[in-house]
Amino acid sequence: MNTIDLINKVSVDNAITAGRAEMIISIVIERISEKLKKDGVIEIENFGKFTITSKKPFKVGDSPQLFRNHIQFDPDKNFLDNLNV
Amino acid sequence: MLKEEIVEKISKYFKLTTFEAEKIYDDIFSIIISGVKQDNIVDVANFGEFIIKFNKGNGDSADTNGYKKTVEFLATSKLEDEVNQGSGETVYITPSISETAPVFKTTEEPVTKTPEIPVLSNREEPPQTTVNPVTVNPETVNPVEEELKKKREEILDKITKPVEEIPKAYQQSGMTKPLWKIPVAEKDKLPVENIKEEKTEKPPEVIPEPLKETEKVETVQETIVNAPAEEKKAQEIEDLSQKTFSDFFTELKEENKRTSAKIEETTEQPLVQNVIPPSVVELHNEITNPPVRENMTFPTVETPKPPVATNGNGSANGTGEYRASDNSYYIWYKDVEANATDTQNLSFEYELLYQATKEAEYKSKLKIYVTTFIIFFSIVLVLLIFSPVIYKIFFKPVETPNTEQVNEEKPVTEQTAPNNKAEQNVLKDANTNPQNNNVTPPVTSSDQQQQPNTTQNTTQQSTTQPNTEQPKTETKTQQPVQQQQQTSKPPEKQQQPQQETKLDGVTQNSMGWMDDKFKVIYVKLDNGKYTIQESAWDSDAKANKRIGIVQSLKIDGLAGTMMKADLGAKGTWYRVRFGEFSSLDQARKKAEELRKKEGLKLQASLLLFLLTA
Repeated sequence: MNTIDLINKVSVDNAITAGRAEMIISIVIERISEKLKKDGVIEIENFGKFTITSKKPFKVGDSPQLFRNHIQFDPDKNFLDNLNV
Repeated sequence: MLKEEIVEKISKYFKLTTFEAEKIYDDIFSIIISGVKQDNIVDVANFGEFIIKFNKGNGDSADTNGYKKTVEFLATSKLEDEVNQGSGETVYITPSISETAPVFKTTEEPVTKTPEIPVLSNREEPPQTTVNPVTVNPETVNPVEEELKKKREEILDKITKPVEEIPKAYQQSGMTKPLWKIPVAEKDKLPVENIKEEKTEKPPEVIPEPLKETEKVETVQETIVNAPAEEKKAQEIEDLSQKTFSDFFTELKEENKRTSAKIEETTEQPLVQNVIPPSVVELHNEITNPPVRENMTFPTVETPKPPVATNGNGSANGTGEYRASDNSYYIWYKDVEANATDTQNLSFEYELLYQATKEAEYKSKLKIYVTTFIIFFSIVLVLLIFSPVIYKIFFKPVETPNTEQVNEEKPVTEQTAPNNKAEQNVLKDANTNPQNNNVTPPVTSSDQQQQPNTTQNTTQQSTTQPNTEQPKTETKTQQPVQQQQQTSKPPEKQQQPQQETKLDGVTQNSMGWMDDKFKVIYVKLDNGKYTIQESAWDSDAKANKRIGIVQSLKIDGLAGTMMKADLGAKGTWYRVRFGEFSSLDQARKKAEELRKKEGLKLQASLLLFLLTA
C-alpha cells in the first residue's frame, strides 16, 4: 500500500477531495516528526509508540565508529490484535 | 495533546468541524493498520514504512506456523538525518568510550559549538577520510569536515553559477563556439550613453589539429554528455534536499508553475509613464467613474451605467462602453460577453420601465371603467326618478275624452244618427212645454259653467234613451208617462248629484264623472250602477288586450267589458269598462286601487329591465 492508496481511501471515507486528504496527511506526518525531534517520544492512541533510540555503532571505512539515532516503533495492543485476528 | 493540536489545525485550515477532523485523524491510522494487515507493507512518503514481522509466539494466538505477527517501522533516511541533526550531544565516539549505546536525550541547555555533520543521502557515498582518534572537542577542526565543506561549496557553486559561465564548459572541451547563442539579460545591459567604443582584442584563433572522424565524434559526444550531466546532478541534489512530502504528488503543478511563470514574465509589460496623454486618462476616468444622476424620473428611459471594464492604453480587455461628448453611449466591441453588473443594472431598469408602463395603462383603463359606471348608474337613477313621466309618455294609450263629451252616447244602432235631430226637437218641445219644465235636470251652477249645454242633453238622453227610438208622433202621448217618470226621478237626481259633487277631483261631464286624479270616467248605467271607463281604443284587439292586462292585476270586482261607440266622422271607438258599483265612492276606490297596482307593476317591470340590461 502506497501513499496514493492511503490518500484515496481517506478521501473516499470522509467525502473530501484527494488534494485535501493529501494535505491533511502531510500535516499529520510533519507534526509527528517535529514532535518526535523535540520530545523523542510520541504515543498515538490505538496505533503505537514512536521513540528515538541509538543504533549499534557502525563504521564507514576507516572512519571511527559512528552511532546513529534510530526511530523505534512499538505497536499498540489494538494494532496487534487486528493483525493477529 | 498531539491529536488536539492536529485536529485544531485541520479544522482551521480546511474549515471542518472538530468531529470531522478527529474522524479523519483516526481514519488515517486505521487505514494504515488495515493496509498492513492486507498488504504486509505500508509505505508512507517522507515518513517510513510499516512492515510485518513474524515472531515466535504461543500456539494459541499465533498463526498456523506458530509465529506471531508484529509490526516494524523503518523510517526514511531523511527523517533519520533530521533526527540525528537535532541531537546536540555525542556523534563521534572514540573507542575508549564504552560500547553501550547512549540514549538520546533532550537538551534544553545552551548548545555549544558542534562540528557540522554531513547530510548523508542514499546516493551520496560517505566520505572516505583518514581521521586520527581525537577527543570530543568542538573547538578543534577536523580535516574530514574541511573536505566535506569544500565539496559542498563546489556543488553549491555549480548550482548557483550564472548563465554566462556555462559556455566555459564548451570552451574547455575544445570547441571554439557554442552550439547555440545565449541571450544576455536585459538588466545587465548598459545605457546607451555610457557605451564607449572599446577596442577588444580578438582572441587568437586556435586552430585545432585535424582529428580523425572517430575521434571527432567521441570528443563531441563526451563534451556534450559530460557538461549537462554535472548540471543534472546538481539539480537533483537540490531537488532531493528541498523536496517535501507533497512534491512527489505535485510535480506536475510545479512544472505548470514554471511554465506559467515563464509566460507571465513574457507578458508583463513595463510601466510607461508620461506616455499616455492626459485627455485619454480623463476619458478613462469618466468611463470607470461616471457622474451620479439626481432626480430620477419615470417612465423616462435612463441611459445604462458604464461598466467597470478598463479601456484605453495598456488594457488587457480593451472593451467597454464609451461615453461621447453628447452623453451618449456606444459599445466598443459587440463580441464581448456582458458583465453580470451590466445585465443586472439593465434588467432592473427595464423592470422599472415595464412597471411604469403598466401603471399608465391601468390608470387609463380605470378612467374608462369609472366613467362608464358613472354614466350607467346615472341613467338608472334618472329612470327610477322619472318613471311615472316615462310611463305617461311611452306606455299610456291615447285618449280623446273631449270628442266623446261632444258626441252623444248612443247604442250601436242605425237609428242613432238620424235621431239626433229628433232628440233635439224633443228637447225643444220639452223646454217649451210647461209640463216639461220639470224634465230639465237640476243642474248646478258649477256644472253649467264647466260643461257645455250638451250636459242637459246627456242627462235628458239618459232618461230618454229608451224613448229616442220612438218617432216624433209618439212624443206627445208619452209626455205624461215621461212626466211621471221624470217627476219620480228628479228628486232622486237632485239628491244624487248633490252627493256626487262632493268628491275631490271629480267633475261631471256629458259622459259621466271625470276623475282627474286617476284619469278615469265614472259612467252611470241604465240599471243605476256606476262603471269605471278606464280607456277607449280604436280596435277590438287593443281593447281586449287592455282588459287582459287589467284582469292580470287580479283586483276583485273589476270585471272587464267592452263597448263599441260609433262617432261618425271620428270613427268607431271601443270603450273599456270595468265593474259595476252602487256608488261613485266605491268606483273611485276601485279606480285608486287599480292605479296603484298598475304603478307598482310598472316600477317592477322597469327595475327588471334595468337589472337585466
